[in-house]
Amino acid sequence: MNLDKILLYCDNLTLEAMEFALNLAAKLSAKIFTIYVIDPKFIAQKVKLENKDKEKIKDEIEDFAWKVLYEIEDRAALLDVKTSLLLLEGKPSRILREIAEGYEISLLIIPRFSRLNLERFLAQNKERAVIIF
Amino acid sequence: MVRLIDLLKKGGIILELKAKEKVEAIKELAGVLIEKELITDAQTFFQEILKRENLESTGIGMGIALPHARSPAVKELVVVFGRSEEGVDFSSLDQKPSHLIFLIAAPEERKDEYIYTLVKISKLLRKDDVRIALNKVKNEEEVLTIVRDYE
Repeated sequence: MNLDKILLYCDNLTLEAMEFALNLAAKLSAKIFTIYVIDPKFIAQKVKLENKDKEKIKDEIEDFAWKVLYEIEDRAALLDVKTSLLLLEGKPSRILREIAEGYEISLLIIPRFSRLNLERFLAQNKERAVIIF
Repeated sequence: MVRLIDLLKKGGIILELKAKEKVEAIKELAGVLIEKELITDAQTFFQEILKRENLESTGIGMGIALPHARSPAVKELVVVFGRSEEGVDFSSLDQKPSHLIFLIAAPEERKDEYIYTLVKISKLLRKDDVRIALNKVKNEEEVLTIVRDYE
């Protein structure tokens, strides 16, 4: 199996998982697609919980998302790992599947604390390797 | 915290980029920093920014490119904005040419502010009205007004 394109999903990503993904990409000389998905459901939940304006919440999430993406990119550059950053909005499981298909991703790395339903996600993504870290 | 408008005033604005391709565009934008003596070693800076460019596509789609690097050759955190009517191929994921190009240069040790600046520019340019306005501006003052209004 040629693992030349790795998709790293940034949702409750730990520092250890980030290091694991980047080191693996460096070892395999793989390109890493780093993706953050802004989930409208999550925004709605936060609006209810925090009693804040929807746009304000979205703005905060976007701020955090770019920060995570650029931190990973900065670290990747030190390891000479090729990267692409993606910030998208929608249902995470659907977007991950579409991106994985569109960019012919060979390996997905999913944080173990991600809000995805991992059991369902794995059942729907049998055609490519998945690491839960 | 750093303000984008101050970084742009310190860096510069080129409303009609002459360059037709990526490396030339980066050189044209970096040229502003060399002229202003904000870079101590042009060759080192080019190497750093082109290395970064080879590792990733800084064309982030929607007609935007953000070439960037932290380098010991940079004296202070600055931003240079360039606009290309024709567009420059920055190997964007959406395969569209980049018309709005922001070059971000930072000293090695100012990582947090550098990332903060990248975040700010990325967020700013996701707004449709900002991109439309920047594509229409007629002078540098209008660019600064757009940035000031959204900051």
